[in-house]
Amino acid sequence: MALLEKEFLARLEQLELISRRIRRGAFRGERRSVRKGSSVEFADHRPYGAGDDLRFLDWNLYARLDRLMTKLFHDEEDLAVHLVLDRSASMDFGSPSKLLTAKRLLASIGYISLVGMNRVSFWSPGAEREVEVTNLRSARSAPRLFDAIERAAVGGAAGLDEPLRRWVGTRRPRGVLVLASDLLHEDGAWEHLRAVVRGGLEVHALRVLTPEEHEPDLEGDLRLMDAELGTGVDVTVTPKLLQRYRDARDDYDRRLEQFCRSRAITLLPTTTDTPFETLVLDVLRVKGLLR
Amino acid sequence: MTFLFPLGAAAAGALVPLIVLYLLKQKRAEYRVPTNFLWARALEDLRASSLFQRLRTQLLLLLQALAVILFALAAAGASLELDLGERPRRVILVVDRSRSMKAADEDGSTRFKVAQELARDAVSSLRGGDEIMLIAFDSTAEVVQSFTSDTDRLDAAIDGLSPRDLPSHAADAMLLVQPAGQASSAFDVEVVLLTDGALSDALPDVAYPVQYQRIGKSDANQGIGAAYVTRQPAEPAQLFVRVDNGGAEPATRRVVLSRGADVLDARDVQLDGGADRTVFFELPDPPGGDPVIFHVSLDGSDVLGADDHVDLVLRPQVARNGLLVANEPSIYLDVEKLTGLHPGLALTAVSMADAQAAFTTGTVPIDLVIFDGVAPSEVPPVPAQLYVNCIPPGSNIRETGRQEYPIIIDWDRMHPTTVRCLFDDVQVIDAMRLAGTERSRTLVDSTGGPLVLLTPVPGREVVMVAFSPAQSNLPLKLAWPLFLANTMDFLLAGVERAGEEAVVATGTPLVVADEGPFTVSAPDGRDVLVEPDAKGRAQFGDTWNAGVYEVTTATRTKAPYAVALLDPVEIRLAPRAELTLGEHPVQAATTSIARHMLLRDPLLLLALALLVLEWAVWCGRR
Repeated sequence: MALLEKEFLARLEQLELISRRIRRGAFRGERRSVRKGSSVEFADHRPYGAGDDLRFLDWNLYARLDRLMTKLFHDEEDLAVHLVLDRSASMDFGSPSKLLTAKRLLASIGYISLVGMNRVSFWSPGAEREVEVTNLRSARSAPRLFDAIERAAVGGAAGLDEPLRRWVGTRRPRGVLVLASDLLHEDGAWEHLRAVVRGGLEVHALRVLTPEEHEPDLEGDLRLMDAELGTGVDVTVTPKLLQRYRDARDDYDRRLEQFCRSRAITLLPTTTDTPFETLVLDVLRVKGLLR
Repeated sequence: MTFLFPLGAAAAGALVPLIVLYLLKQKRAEYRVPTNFLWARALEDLRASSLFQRLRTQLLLLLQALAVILFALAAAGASLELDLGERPRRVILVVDRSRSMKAADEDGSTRFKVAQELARDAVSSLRGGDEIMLIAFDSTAEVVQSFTSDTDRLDAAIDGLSPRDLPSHAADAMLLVQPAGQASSAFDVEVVLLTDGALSDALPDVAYPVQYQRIGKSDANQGIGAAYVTRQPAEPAQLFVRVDNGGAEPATRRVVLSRGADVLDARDVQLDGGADRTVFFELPDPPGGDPVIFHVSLDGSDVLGADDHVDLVLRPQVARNGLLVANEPSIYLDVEKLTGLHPGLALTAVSMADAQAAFTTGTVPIDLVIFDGVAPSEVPPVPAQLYVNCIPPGSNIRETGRQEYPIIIDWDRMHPTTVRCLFDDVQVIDAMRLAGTERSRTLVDSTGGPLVLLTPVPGREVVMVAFSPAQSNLPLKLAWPLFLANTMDFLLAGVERAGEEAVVATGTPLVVADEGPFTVSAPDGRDVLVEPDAKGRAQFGDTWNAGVYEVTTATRTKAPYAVALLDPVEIRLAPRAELTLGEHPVQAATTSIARHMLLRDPLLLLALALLVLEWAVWCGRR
């Protein structure tokens, strides 16, 4: 099955990725840049200097102040959108799996970005090799993006922090970073996110969980095997233990939210049982990632 | 608390593997989760939250360990001592092994097995210095094991006992108790009577405390209380079977007569509680002159199967020998006419001297003797006896004088001797006036007292006519030959010579005279060779169990003998709540025979309950 159906792609074309800040792009695009350029949107004045284009002299201001001022306009450039997929073993749970849901979310956001003439990159760290495509522009590049996303199979690194740190150090990305992950890690997922916020990126974290991770459906004496680490924890599931689990989960979620809020990271939690179209067309819009 | 089997505490060693296994832990079902660190945190929180929660994880181990400890205590024979004195004890165990102890009304087990268990309990509770004697009784009593503290010997003696088809005469056993107790002055003597209380005789009192351990629960039993065969010349033998209902509830049973695998006849009998009914069968004469074994049984089942069947052996009818003893011949007692009245009877007229000689030598078996006007000084060894105008020796009857013209006022119209006889126009000129007739049954009564009687003498009942027929018009009446024929039939009906009995009582020795050694095939499959003693008599006494014993001699082919216990007392199985020893009632004991309260059962129950609880906790955690 293709990641996204044609009909759904057509509906995605009506949407646009929102960036909270105006950023400097690399190429001309349709998004306002911090650079001054040749768009029709007025930005500022500056004193006239020798060589300035006389067409931008503000004659009205000269008549009032008797000073030669040149009008500056905003430039329109593209936006760098970095899509990062966590494909560790813990993502291979749920029905549909967390990984599939994450892939479809990134594909949707990537497609919206490409349609908006933004520069899209996809990167997914792996235990053996990374999957990466960079500098995709325009909707015509969507198949390459989708292909790369589809190639990212389960088997990624257990911890995202080190690969992310390395990736940020070498790529020095700017723009928007959309990370799709379950953000479950013994040391706290915020340790992973710390690496990307330092890079000055606008980070959106799509947190995909299964309903069972919210409300476990377990009973009896079990050895719970960690899918990534292979370690086991012997439990006898009782109502009290379940309550303790909920308490531990709530505490983890609260700390994650607190971190994201303090670092201006948009945290978008969802579960795999949420209808996908609702998720993209409604939830992400309400959360301010799309419009 | 004491421990009867301290070595049993070794079972507590099971704690070691239990704890080791618990430490190793059983393999849990593995369940793959995205990550388990949240579970690990939840678990830590739970463990740290309370001491109880910490203990809770080991609750299963605690329960299992407690169960093992309880099992070990039970195996070690943990018990509470109850009221034991300082002096050593001598316990006399008196075990009933009569047939009623074969009743299987103790939850599938027989009463006798329960008695054995109780006896073993008593043995297992022996303290140092205590001794036990074992007495078993049925129709007789026997010291199976004299006083000893050797538990192995006692257990072997108890194991060697088995119930027998014999009645229970506990009085003999109690007579053995008395001297055994008297020889135990340095001990506290206690008598433990293990019986169901279905005893045939009264118990004498003993000078020692008696503990009556009542065994048995049910009285739902019916059985054959009597079976006898009567034979008339030239007629089929008649079999009467009495069925007794020993229980309080009404019952219906079917009495089946069979020969080999062939069912010959059957009768249904309905029995009220405690009642009995007699049914009648005709037995065909054995063809070819060989004895035939018949089997009578009750269809259905009850708690005691041993009394539901009986074997009978019917042998070819043989001619009976009789003597007519008179000082002078009479026309009213003519040998030829008397023989005509009872075909098959070889009657000989003899003098009293000849008769006495015949009685003494015993070379020719004599079945009937008629004394006419003259009586012997002692009761002759003849089964059927008729005394005419003379008084039977050994009876209480005596002649107080004579009476003239006594008028016959009544006669017993139902008795076999006088049935169909009319005495209303019989006139008697002279008759004896009798005294001491209280124990006799009057068959013909007159104004001067009984004229014809059925009177007991040692060993049997005889018929007496208190006048000379010559002194009456009786010989001219039809009543006279009818009376003579009836009397001879009646007296000879139950006569069986030694070895001719259809059934003999259990415990009766089988005697085969003058035939050298013989072999007995018992019902249990044993073949026993019996050698004659110094006097040339060989007898087999081990007929304690009912069934057919086959005797094979050197000169004869197999001769079957049917042995059975026909005793209504052993059919009435209701356990008695009280026994009377002399004049002292003894209530059934309510305490343990061992004088220890053995905690095995409660401990095992508690251990089981703990295991159930452990299982419930385990299920609750799933």
